[in-house]
Amino acid sequence: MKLKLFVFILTVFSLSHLLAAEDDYNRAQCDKVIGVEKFIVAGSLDDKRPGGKTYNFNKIVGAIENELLGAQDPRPEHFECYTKLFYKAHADAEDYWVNRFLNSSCTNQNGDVPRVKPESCDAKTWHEYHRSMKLIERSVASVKRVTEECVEDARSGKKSCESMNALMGLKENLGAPIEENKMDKCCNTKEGPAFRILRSYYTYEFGSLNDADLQKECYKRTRPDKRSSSDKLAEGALNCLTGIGRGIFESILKLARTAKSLWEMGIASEILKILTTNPLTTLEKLVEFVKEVFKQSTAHFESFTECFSPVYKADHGCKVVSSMVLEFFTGKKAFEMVAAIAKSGAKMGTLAKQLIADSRQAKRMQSEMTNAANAGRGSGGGGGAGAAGVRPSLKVTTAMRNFSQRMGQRLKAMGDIRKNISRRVRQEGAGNPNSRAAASNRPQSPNGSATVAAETAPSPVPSSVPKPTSAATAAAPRPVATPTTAAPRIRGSGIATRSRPALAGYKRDLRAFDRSPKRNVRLKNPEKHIADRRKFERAKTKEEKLALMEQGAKRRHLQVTQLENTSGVQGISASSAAQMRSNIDKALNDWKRANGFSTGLSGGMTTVSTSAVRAADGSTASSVRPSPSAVADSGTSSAPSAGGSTAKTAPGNNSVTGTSPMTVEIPPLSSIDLGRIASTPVTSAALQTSVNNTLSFIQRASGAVGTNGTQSTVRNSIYGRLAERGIKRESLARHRDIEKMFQNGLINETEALAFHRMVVTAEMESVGKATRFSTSYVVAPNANPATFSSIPKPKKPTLTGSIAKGITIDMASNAMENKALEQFSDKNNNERYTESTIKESQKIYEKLSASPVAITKEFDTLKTEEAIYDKADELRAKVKTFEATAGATSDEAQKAEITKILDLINSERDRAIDRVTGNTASSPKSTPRILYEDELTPSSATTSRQPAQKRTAPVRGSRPPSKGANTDAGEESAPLIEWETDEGGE
Amino acid sequence: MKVFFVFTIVALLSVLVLSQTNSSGPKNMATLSYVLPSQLDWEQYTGDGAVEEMQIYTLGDDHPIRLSATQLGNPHLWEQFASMDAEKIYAELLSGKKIIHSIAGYKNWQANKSIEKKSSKEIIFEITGHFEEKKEKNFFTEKYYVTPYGVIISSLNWTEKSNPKLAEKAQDDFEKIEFKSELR
Repeated sequence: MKLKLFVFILTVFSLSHLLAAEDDYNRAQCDKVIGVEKFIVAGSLDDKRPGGKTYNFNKIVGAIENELLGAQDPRPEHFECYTKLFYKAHADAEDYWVNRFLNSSCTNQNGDVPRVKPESCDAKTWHEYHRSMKLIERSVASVKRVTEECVEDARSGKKSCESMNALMGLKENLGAPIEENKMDKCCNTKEGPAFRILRSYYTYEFGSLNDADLQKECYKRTRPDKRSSSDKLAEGALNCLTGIGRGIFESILKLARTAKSLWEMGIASEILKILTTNPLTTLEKLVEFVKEVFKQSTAHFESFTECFSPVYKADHGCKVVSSMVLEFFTGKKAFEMVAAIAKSGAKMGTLAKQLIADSRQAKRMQSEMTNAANAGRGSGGGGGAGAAGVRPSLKVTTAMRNFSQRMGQRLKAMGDIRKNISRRVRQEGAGNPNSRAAASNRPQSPNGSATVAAETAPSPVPSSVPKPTSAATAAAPRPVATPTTAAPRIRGSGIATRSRPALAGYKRDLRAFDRSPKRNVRLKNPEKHIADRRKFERAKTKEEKLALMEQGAKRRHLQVTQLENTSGVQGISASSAAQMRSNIDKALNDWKRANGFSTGLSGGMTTVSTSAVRAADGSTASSVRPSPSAVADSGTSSAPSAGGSTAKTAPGNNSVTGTSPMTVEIPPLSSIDLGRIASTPVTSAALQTSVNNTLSFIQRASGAVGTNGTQSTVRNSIYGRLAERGIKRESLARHRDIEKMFQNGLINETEALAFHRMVVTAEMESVGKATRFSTSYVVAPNANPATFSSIPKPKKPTLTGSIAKGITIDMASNAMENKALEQFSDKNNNERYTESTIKESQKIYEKLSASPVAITKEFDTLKTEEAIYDKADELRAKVKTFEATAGATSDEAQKAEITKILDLINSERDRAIDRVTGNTASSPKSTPRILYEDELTPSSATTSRQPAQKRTAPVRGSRPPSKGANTDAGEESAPLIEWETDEGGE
Repeated sequence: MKVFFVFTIVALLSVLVLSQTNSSGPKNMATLSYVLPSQLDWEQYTGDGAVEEMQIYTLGDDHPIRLSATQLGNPHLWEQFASMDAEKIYAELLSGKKIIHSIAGYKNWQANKSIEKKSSKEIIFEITGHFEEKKEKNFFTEKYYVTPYGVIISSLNWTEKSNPKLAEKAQDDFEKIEFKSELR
């Protein structure tokens, strides 16, 4: 360790001094050290003309990579020489292209290279320029990546790269990679702090989502935000107000669903009334109140929600606070506080302060959040301490920082090579107006990197890309076929493209309803499009026909929902789906009117088939949630309806009716004495009894085992008077109590499962078998985590960690012996994901891994930045789901593949964003496609990684540009053209 | 022959048991719904503050008249509604409401209450009243449709600035609202 520290200090000092003194390549010093000849594929360093030599950028990058990531400690002198050669190659390339453009007509008056090739620009120059830029940008990205990896390795203490701690500060200069990294860390489904927040607090908004979908939402909230600070703040403030309103809504709906007493119902119904009367004006004071609380606790939220982008941070804060405030309302404290405020006329701010300072709930919540935050941090960046080992002194640290800053700045500038060339062409062109006319005199040098270097370094090319195998092919590189929308566009609405079966189904059943609201065309014969034609013709009475129509409408709604839930080009957007539903309802209502049936405001039957709700667990909202924009002119109970939709009745129709059906499952009989709960806000006493009963049962059963031993306890224990059946009955009662406690928000689902497990274990220990109990837990029904910790912790829970993962557990209601352990076993590790999600993720993964072009295609048809981000998040979530469910973590090869795909998604996303935003060369996120080691041909991989042969193989150096690489400069024109050669410009 | 019959009977029984087992899907489902006969041109509100779980209807921006409804799968409240008289239910609900009144600054809150037992498993509790907010008089009618399976809360709100004729018609509509629960 001491030796390494010494080398490290030596390295840092050497590099710092050397870099500070001179950035230029010193031939006398470096030529022999690094064997510069092997990096020059044509010409000579002695040639001073622009284009007098051609570098192999990939080899230079490979050498740097080996120095940093090789098994041996970095050699300062070598590293310095490689770096300077890299700088020199870059600078020479820039000179070359400035010179060449000055003698060509490929640039516009501003010196910029336009998006479309000017007619006067010769194709060779155009293609070579783009190819050269791609290559240079890729090499810069690679150096960034290498340094990133070095930093990461050093932090995690994995490798000798700790001696390159000088690069630690480099990340700050690289910018984007840390954002990507943050997203993954924050949204890790096991320990990501942002993911945990979404899972814990957003019970109504996301309660019904499985991990995969929730992860997608998480990505959305943690994605890098490019907007200015003022924009973010403005939007955040706006969202805060809305967030409070919505937060209160969500919380109050939850409260109303779980209300145990009329007192609670009174609160809930009154707030609901206020919200529905005039959401953002009448609520003013309530909102002010909440905002005061929010202000008080902002600092705390800041520290916890560092994962969220600013807008969502504000949104989240507002929601959590509003939830917290409502907890005060329903607690005893609220009475006292409101009484106090009524007497003293104190201002809201004072009240808020008091609430925060005095509240037991607030303290609990704070403690819980702090713990979670610490846990998140611990897992996220825990490697730091280990890596630190021996910490350098302040002097060394300063030297490190200087070095890393210099290098970071240099690399950043290099990433802007296109800009630099444009600027210089503009400047130098202005001074020499005739230069462009002399296009024919431009230097025809080996600078045309494609023509020379390809001979010595065959290009790595992805399987899907036409591979130049010789100088000739490299000189005339073929662009990757830009994926276009292959499937025919059906029509102008949200339906875009669809596979054949889906297209046929769409045409047959739904096309008639796919029209925009502007085209208010009424179907001539709605029955033809809605009802089963044969049955409809056979039906004799109008009522039978009505029933068929309603059934048909329901079926169409389901079809629309299916399409809506289908991802990719086969699916339709939510707005299109809503419009189609609306049109179905309109058609149904038209038919009804024409046949003398009444119509009216309608409820959401569309979702009824999937919305069987357990009234008992309070999950009605999430599962009965109707389509937000379903439209119904008028409807009956079978017509779709619901929140957020535009229901409009026909004026003058005197029989307008409305239904809003809700399906609930009748809950099991309560074993809690409701009379004791009623009429009092202090609701915990009866529930506490349940807790005590359960604990008592466990204690007695376990105690009996302790004294008498398993199997014989029935006769000898305190249960002696009870038969086995009696114990079973009591066990069931305890299970019900636990379920009740969960429903009432006293315990969370993890604790409930733990309790179930304890009861099962106790029963098994007592009588040798356990009774199975049926329940279904939807994640965290209680919006306020403050109540979670109110339950006494079991002394020795015989549980495994995986139990906490269980989100939804469905069990049969019939008692089955000796099966109980299975339902809580570790086998169901995938419970967090539905089967369909897993299948879908696998499908997506296979599709993406089959060909890199598949990822490009995913983004090709997207037109807006938002859609691109969403698509990227969706793909990432799918891949992550696959990783989590396919056991990929144990398979290194698959893990690498997954990392590769994730990086590709990021780079394609950035490329697509640049495409839609018209970003030219300045975007730090635009990335040419990077090739990976497994895409290289064996020979080219060997060639391009030549230095690796001399040193220990730097396997990780060949990974995709996971972080830094994506920060490369963007391409300007012909954005999807891929130039895959190994050789460098100038 | 005996063996054949025994096997046949056993097979039949197995099929029967299996079919019973397989059909143990969701049972005892209840559907709560409401029907609102109306002469007015109600439009569903989708602006700020609207959430999917609730239906909010308006008569356009010019008329501050709102009708809202939400369904809750709450199993706790039935026994309380079933065992108490109107006065007691009202007193309980009001004690909760008062907290919000304090925060929202309501004044002169007054209400009448009534209870209607439609059947042994359906109760409709109604509160009609008014209060003042920023010196403006607000009127409301709330209906709680309570069953052992869940609750529908519906509410009609208007102010003194509302068009009186429209408000009257809206009240007529609201009076005719019909609730229904179906067991499956």
